[in-house]
Amino acid sequence: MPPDSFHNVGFMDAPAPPNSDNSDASRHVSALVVTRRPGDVDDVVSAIEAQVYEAKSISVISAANAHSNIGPGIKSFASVADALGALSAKVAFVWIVDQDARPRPDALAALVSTADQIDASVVGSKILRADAPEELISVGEATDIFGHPYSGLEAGERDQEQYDVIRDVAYVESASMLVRRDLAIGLGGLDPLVPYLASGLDFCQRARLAGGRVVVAPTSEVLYEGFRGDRSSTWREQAGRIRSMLKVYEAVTLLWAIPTLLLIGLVTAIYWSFNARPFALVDWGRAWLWNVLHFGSTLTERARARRSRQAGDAELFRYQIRGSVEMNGLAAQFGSIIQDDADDDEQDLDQLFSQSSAVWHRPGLVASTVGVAYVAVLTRSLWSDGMPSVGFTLPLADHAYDVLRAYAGGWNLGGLGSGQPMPPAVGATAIVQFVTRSSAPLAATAMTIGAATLAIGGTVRLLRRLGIGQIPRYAASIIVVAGPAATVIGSLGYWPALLAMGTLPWALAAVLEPFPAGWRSRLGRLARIALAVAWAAAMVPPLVLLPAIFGLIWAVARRDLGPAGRGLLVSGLGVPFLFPWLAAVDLSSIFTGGEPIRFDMSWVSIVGILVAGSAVLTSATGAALRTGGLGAILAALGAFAARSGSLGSGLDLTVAGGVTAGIGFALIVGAALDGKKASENAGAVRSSIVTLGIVGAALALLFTFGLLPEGRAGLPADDYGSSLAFASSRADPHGPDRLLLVGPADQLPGEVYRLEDGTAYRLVSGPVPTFAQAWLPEPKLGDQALASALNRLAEDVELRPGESMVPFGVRWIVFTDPEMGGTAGVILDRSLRSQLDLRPLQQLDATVFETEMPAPRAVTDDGKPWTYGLADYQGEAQQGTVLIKENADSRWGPGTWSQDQWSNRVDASDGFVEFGGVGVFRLMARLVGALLLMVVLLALWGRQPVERRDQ
Amino acid sequence: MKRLSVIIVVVALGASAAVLNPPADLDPGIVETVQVDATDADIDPRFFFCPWALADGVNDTSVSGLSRSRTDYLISLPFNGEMSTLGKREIQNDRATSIEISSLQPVGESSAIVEFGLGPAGADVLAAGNGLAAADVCPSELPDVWHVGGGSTADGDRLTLRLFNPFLDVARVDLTVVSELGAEAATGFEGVSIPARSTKTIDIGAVLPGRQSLSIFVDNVDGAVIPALVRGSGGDVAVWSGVGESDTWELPLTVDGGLTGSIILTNSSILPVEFSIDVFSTQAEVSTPVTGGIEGPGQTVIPLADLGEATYGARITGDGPFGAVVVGVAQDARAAMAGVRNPSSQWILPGVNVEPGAEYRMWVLNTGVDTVVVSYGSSGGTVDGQLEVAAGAVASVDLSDLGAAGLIVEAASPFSVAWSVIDVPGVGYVAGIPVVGTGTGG
Repeated sequence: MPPDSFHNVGFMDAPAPPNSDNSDASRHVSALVVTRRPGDVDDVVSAIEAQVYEAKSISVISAANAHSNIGPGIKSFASVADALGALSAKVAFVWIVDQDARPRPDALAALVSTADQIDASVVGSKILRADAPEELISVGEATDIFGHPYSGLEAGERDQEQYDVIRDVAYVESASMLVRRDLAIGLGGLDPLVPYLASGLDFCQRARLAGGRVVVAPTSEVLYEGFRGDRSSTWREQAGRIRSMLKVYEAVTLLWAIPTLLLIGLVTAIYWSFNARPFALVDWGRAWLWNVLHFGSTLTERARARRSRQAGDAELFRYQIRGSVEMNGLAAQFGSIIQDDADDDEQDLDQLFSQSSAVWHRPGLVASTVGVAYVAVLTRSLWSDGMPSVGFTLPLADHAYDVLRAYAGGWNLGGLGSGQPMPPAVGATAIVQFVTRSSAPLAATAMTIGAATLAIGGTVRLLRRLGIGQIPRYAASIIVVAGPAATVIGSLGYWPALLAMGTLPWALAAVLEPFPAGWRSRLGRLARIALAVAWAAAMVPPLVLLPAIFGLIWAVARRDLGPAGRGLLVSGLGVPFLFPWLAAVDLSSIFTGGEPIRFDMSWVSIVGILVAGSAVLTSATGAALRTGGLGAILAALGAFAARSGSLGSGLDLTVAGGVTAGIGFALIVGAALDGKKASENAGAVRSSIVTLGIVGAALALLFTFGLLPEGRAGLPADDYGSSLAFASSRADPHGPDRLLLVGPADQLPGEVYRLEDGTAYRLVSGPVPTFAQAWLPEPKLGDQALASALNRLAEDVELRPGESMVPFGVRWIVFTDPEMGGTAGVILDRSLRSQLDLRPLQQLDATVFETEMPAPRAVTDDGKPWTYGLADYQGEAQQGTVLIKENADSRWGPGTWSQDQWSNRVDASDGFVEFGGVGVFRLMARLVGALLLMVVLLALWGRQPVERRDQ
Repeated sequence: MKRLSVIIVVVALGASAAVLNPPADLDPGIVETVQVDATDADIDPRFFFCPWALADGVNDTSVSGLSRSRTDYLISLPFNGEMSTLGKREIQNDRATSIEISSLQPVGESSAIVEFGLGPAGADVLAAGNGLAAADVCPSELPDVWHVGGGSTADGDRLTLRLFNPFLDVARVDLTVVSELGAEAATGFEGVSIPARSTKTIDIGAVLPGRQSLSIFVDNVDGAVIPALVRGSGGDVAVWSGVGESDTWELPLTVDGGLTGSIILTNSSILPVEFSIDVFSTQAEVSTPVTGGIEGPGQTVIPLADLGEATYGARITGDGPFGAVVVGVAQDARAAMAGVRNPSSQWILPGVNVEPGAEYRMWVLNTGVDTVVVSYGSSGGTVDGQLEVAAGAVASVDLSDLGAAGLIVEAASPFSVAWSVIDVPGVGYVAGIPVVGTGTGG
């Protein structure tokens, strides 16, 4: 009988061999133990010797111990090829066993039985964890086209014989594989250059292309020691897979598969570099480099494989899954970040999707994808057109480092400047821009879209912690970014609030979550919480208190002090990041400073939420009632704060109120949508009310579609980006001078000063105001002088207004809306139309006047202008002084400084002038920077990698 | 119970939020802001706009200024969008100075901006010699609607309207012309555009010939202009700038140099204005008031002969805002002057005696109930003479012997002042310039 004409001679459920004493009538099997590291092989040899189906010989493949006797009757070879060459012709099968494998006594019998039964060329075993024998590692596996293994197993999945069926698979692990002797000899055995997983894959693929059949025999069980969840991610495994591809695929397949793999590998490596695998990018590079270095041997092996090739690539494709396992894993990882959807009690979305691939196995990911798609539509104009420039939505400065320098105890860039620190939002956005090394427009857009995405994810997480079902929480999360509160805040152009919404729900969710076990995880969690609350507080400082308030409310509701304590802790974690700004402001001004927003929601926009809230409060039970009650309190409290401007509340507090109300609305809607679940056994009346609540929630969700047509995440259209573009084109060689903007406050960038009659005006650095200029410091001498000059313009009809503006470095006066600028605004506009030294610029969106004479913000004694560059001035070094038209501060230097009325006069001999900085603020900023770096590292270090389910 | 507590808290907070008023709107809407009337705003008295000056090789114009402060005196001549020429000199306090326009622009008519570094100050233009005596005060106000009454295109009179836009924005004005025929319907009077820093001249005689009496209202639609009428006959011209509206006007000077005078009252509104004229003479007797009405929009011409033979001054009061001009006409002479709105206790008369060959006379009207003693001087606060003016009387004094360009006239009580210049046959009337901030009376 030829060695390749095996027939079914047994039955799989009874793996007992046809002849247990392994007589000559049975197939002779020779066992080859493959070693990959130094160490004894006694355990595996013992396991082989204990087999009920006796192996005729046992050989150990070990380069170190080649040709030495390891044990009685055990031979040693340097390579599998050597061992195969020494086999007796009587040997029908070669049983390749890994050094770490511990086959059960009947494992070989089952393999031989299966091979005979279905005429298979390669038969693999079911692999179980040696340290947890009930957990599955592999029952034969599929791959994607790139050779990445896909087991289809959940992490830690128990063996309940659910996969115990003989089937063809893409490959079996080389822990235990029975191979026809002639096939093994023809293929040269395992590739010694590739590691464990890749060697099995490589051999099985070559076997299949040679016409062999690769199956798994689950009744053959092998325990495996030293299992690691990330074993397929090592650089050696990556390199092995690439080598395997190069060996087996036809050229036309390689033509597209290799570049694609290169790209996918890069993307995933970048991602994993920031998520639990800091050296992923290095591994990726090493894998490709290794293949370059071994390209010659790869070509040799490829030629060898082609000689025995009986089938095309299509034969391999039959056992591969579509797409990329790595990309699917990445998407799954992303989904798990957005929400940990391992709900035991939630299967509603699960039912919507059949078991197909890994991605669609995860309902949370599907919902996340829908959420991301919603955000994409909500923000599509931002992608294409960039951020509008309106209100507090102002472009970031081109040079983030300069802004950071100004933030860290440098010169406040608002108005005529000050040594007062800028708000933390300026520093936070500059850090993001600096770290990502991206352009200012891209950074701003990415932050906006990222915040919207994070807001949805965080709200989902928050609602989940509150016990709300999956579909309701995903639906309700939209309310945070597109509900009535977000609409109002967005329409005011208050960009920092939109950014704050990104992490605030995460911070609130942390209040509800018990801390994980283990110091590493705990520190990591704390670090991530600190980042979340710090970001939200940096954008809207009063929000630092919200977790504490939130925790207190929840503690009262649950009669449990835990949330209150966690809330205080979460709030406390955010406080340090408010320095140095916090050290310089009057604490009461945090709540009363700045002009309050007009938080006017239309009744139409909130009628759905009112109905939903009423229904939840009156008829819901359980988690829905708790969540709805919490949401209602937050919404009411937030709305009260947001509308308390007439009680003396300032900008930040009213904005914080608006954001809080938005979170509350989302909780109400989530609770209303989830109310039905808890009211299944309720009476007809209560059930009807709950249904009414669902209708209300649906109405609220319907309202969110109102923001989609414009695609700007609710932000208004651009106000300054185009209307102030003239400043660039009309600038003198020393650069754009300042612009004085007059008009309604909501049409001016950032904070405003007002004339005595209430007319709002704003001084900005040309060519366009940046985000760092959004907030104004406390007015100083220069600001008072400017106000006096403007009052004179408004009251006395100054006929040379340009002359009065030049001392402030103002080259242009811009009326954003001459008809709406207040009494003085109207007079200003009319008087400026009847004056002698301001030239009106025609064909512009706004009414613009330009001074006839130059108005540099820094000028030497002999009238030469100096160039401005984010709080620094440069020019030709010369004798005499240069007048710096910033608020007087003795720290301007480095030359001799003197005060000139409200401005600065500095020795011009150095050729540059800069603000020396405020030492204590600079120190604080550096400490906060160090703390931030530490927290980021802790957050990365403490992040437990999500065990990939495809392993 | 817990549910009820939550409901109570939520309802209480929500209701409070709902009833809270939004922060006060600090940006009033247009309905509120249109109430602002720029006419009421005080123009910086450092700037004066002279819509007419002449330098034609034969005649020259002196642009005279007088400031109560030691300061810079600057003349600019906006032309074709540019500041073509500048004249600058320093003047001492309470002293006048003048710059010949020919030294800045040799040929032709021009308009000028006179600027003082500090006020109070005033500026006049005066062209005298060779039978020409034309003078005008340079306005410093910028009303929305200008009244320029007293024109004529009959009997060979040349009449041109000058629209001076000294500013850096294009101005657009609507002109309403009324004559003895009523409102004129000539085309080209609406939306007249005047480029920045330039002067537009409209030959009214060519458009509306043969009108005995003709007044113009200049309505600033965009920007602002300063209008002036130039009326000439023979070798003499009269030039007078427009004025804004007022309920009361005083005319300290109605007739001099043998001219036949008329008072022209103008009303730019739709509603008619009823007026009353008090006539003053040198005998300190106030005649019986003359009353009448001005159709709106329209004009009323009142020959001085109808008011009394010895009329030298007048006060006109109306039940609504209107304009007032006095015009004097002789065979070869024309003179005109807008009234002054209110009496003041201090007046500036730049340009007096600037042309030594002419005769100069100051006219003082005292509409108060007490006699006033008016002091006048031309040099750094020194008093060159005094003039006692009885209550309700007009008094005049010949200034030709003073020899200084410009006068400061002041008294303890408010009064009104004008002056005349005669260079036979030419005659010119000029109103005084009240010092802003000093006591005024009704």
